Amino acid sequence: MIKRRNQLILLSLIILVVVIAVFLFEEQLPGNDEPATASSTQSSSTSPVGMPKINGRRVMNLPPGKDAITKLKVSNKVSDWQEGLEHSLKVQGGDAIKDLKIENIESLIWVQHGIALNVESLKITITNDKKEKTMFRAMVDSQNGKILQTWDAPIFDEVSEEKRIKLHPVEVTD
Amino acid sequence: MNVVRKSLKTNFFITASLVLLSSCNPTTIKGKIAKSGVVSNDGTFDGKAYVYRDSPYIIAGPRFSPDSPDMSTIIDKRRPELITTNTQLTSNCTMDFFSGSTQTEITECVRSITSTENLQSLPRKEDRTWIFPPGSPEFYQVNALYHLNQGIESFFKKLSFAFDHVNSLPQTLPRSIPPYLMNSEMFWLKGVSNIDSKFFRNGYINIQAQCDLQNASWSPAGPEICMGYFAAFKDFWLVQDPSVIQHEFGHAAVSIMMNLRNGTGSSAHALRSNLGSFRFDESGSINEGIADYFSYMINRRTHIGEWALGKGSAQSRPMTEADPMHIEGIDVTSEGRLSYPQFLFYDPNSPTMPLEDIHYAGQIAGHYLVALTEEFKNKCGISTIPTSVEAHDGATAYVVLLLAETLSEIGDLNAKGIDDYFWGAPLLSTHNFNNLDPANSYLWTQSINQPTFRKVFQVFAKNINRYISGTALTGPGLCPAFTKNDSEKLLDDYGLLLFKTYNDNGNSSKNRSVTFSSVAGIAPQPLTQVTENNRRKSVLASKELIQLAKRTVAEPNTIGTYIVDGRSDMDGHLKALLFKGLAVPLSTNVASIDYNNQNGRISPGEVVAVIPHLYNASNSTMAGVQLLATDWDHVDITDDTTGNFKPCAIDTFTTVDEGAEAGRTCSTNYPDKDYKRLVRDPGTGKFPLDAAAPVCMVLLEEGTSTRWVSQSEFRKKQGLTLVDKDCLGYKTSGTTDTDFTFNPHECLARFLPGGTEAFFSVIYSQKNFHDSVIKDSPEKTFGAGNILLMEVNKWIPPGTKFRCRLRARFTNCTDCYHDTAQSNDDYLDSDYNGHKPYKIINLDFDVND
Repeated sequence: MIKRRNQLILLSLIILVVVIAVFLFEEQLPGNDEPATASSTQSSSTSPVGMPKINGRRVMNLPPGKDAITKLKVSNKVSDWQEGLEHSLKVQGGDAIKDLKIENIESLIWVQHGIALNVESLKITITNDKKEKTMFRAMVDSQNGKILQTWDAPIFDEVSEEKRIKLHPVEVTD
Repeated sequence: MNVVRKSLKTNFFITASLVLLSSCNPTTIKGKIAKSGVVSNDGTFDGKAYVYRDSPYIIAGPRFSPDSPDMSTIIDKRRPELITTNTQLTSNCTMDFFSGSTQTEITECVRSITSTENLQSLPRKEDRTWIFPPGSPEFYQVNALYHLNQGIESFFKKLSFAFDHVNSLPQTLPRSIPPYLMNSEMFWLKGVSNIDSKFFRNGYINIQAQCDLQNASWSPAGPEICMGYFAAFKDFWLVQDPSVIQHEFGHAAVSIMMNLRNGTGSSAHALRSNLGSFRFDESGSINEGIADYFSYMINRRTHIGEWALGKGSAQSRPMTEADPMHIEGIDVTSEGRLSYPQFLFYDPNSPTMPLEDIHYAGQIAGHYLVALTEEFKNKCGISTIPTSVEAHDGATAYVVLLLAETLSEIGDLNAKGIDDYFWGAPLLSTHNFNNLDPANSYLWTQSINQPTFRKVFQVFAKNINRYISGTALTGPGLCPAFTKNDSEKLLDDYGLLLFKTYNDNGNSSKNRSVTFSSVAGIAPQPLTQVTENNRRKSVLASKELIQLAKRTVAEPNTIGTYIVDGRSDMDGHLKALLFKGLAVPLSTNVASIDYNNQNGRISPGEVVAVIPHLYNASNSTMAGVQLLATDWDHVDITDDTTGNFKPCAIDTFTTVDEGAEAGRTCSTNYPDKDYKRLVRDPGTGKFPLDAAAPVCMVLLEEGTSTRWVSQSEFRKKQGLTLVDKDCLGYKTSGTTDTDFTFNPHECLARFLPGGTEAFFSVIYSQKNFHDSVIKDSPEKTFGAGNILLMEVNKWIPPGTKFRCRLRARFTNCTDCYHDTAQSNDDYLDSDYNGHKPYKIINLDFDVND
């Protein structure tokens, strides 16, 4: 019985050595220092450093310096930005907007030109009366809904001449 | 989105299992086909469907009717294709790294959706197939997914090749595709991998096979491909043409490549780079050319849209000069190439009717890329048969490598340009080598120094030298037989040899004495000159000869500036801009189109389109003319409590006698290396003394003298009792809230964000833009891209005089880019904060009642 137990221990040790050897061998291969699987709930990098945060908001464009985050003062507050944004879009779009959807992708702190602001990164989707849809991204001031930047505009591969924007100067000046 | 990494061990077990099981799996299809044509699936049709391999035009011929096309006659009934093994109509995508030793699989990277209202994907049928009646909505959704998968597979294979090749280079050489691409996962449409972030929470592309749009579109914000219809014919859908699906995917691939550098394993820039905008411009044209190329890359045909565009609206496009659609005189010789700028408006469907459109202008880029691919097939020894699939795959892989390196550099919002190759990590230096700096990179790459034919093909050509031909530093490239001279000659055939050097010496964005080798262990990079003998067709002109058109005795009808102030015109324009993705922050309290009076003048309270009318006084065509109204360093700020300034004396228009400053910050440390707006610091209450200023100044009368001053100084000294809330650009959510982004120096008149740039495709020699383009156009109208959008405060006293200092440059310009004091090296990014690369265009106007 003792001999059988020793055999079992020896077998376990051999298996353990083989497993460790395989593991170490795989570590040598390039690109294999990642977890074997990663799901959307796990960071896929080896050690997620992440970006600095204030009040749960990532800080973009933090100035250099080790005390930068502690010295940073956010100027505006978070208020009812949605109303200001909707008003702004409706002034521009008027009755052409049949449906407006504003999706909040992320709340951030954005440092621009030396000023740190609470901002909202949004996806805006607009449908017109022909059920045609457009969508783009926008960054707005979390306090008043002012549009600070837009990007990711759609590319329409027009086949119809009538879709082109045309302008007719009514009068001219010198 | 699940990301799965497969190790060698897993692969071994899978392979072993497959070997064991394969003896049980038939290799031929054994399903029974009933008389009705419906397949009775014995397992061999699992996940499969019948697809159309190409459009009806290609399969059945040009006479196939576009009216109610019978797709059952088009599908390949001999061989069903695997669509997906998922139980919903979605696909997984796999990207290889390091010669396939590591794979990253993205589950559900594409979803073919039924509609954008519910974003649902079709569930697989109970018989486990995806076989639906031809012509049904489900049939098109299945085929859309199939063809999109073909595109993604081809692109990933080539991007993988690009990554592996670039990362095999010595650590002492700079490259753009980041070594941490596998960790960042920016090879797919993924904004950021920060686990707390909701950016691109869904890492998939939606494709809608039959959407409510009379065209096709790519929305990076979705991200979504929309395949629409053409109303002239019943049941005519663009999804019926795979070359158009591949073109739309080409736009997605451009978006991916532009943003390869904009994320790491744990963070990403808040914005994304785009190539092109709502207007006609060269970025958008190049994007269209690359998208056409993707169709060629995937289906090996040098023509796009024969069915969807050709049958629908006579708008199909060739991609080689050998195409019979081209007019006589266009051929594959040096003289016959589709060259810039001569063929910018060329529509081969209607060659006598020039059309300013990004798709036709993009043909120059598309034809060049196809011609380059053919050169690679013939010269690089990829295959013994240059016309083989192997040669095509190999040559197009080289082009994708060049595109990925080029676009990732141009779109770099983190502004570093290179990485720390020893650690395989982002560069930690405070120096930036691209697009000025991270805070202003989006403005620089989208507007100030945007991708033009010159910029894109300069970077592209640099990468040809580096990776294809090889240099003294890199050693032999992938194809030494395709030399630097060959490259320059081909570029020149297309009129794209628009640069004097390759700008490859690795200067930082703000300081010439800081280079790559200062910070990252990169070997010193010499500046490579273009061989001038190779420049025969690419003509460069001086910026000094571009000016505002002037009314003269000889030409009394010349217009200096056009104004659009009709209410319905501006209303329609603003609505159209919004639908194109440009939301403009209008000042609703003190300006509105309700004040527009259509008198052709700029009046208080109006929102107007201003078209400064430019004239080309040179003997050469000027192409890609860009007019900027963005803030720039043209002033000496004299008071940090008010931000008041004196304009710099940088031309003969605004003199010292009129209040200009010749010395101080207008001469030393000019222009500012950093870019910041002239807004009050909330902490100190002061204005920065080294800021860029809005372009429009006001003429202040003081007794018998007059001087140009800031709008803030004017409103105080003129006695205008306006508080900040009565100014343009001030937005408040309440009565006491402060708008921290408000700039008091554009209180009275300002160019609207989003409307600060006008673009003019071509101005011919000794002509103005109207006579060059508008006069002979079909509708004789200006386009959305030709205008600057301006707001005027309703409280401005009539008669107030403004001067706006705009900056002009153009693509084939010799002195807009090349610093003669630096052996024609390109100007630094920070130089574009000043006037050196531009011609100043002074726009003077009075505000009329």
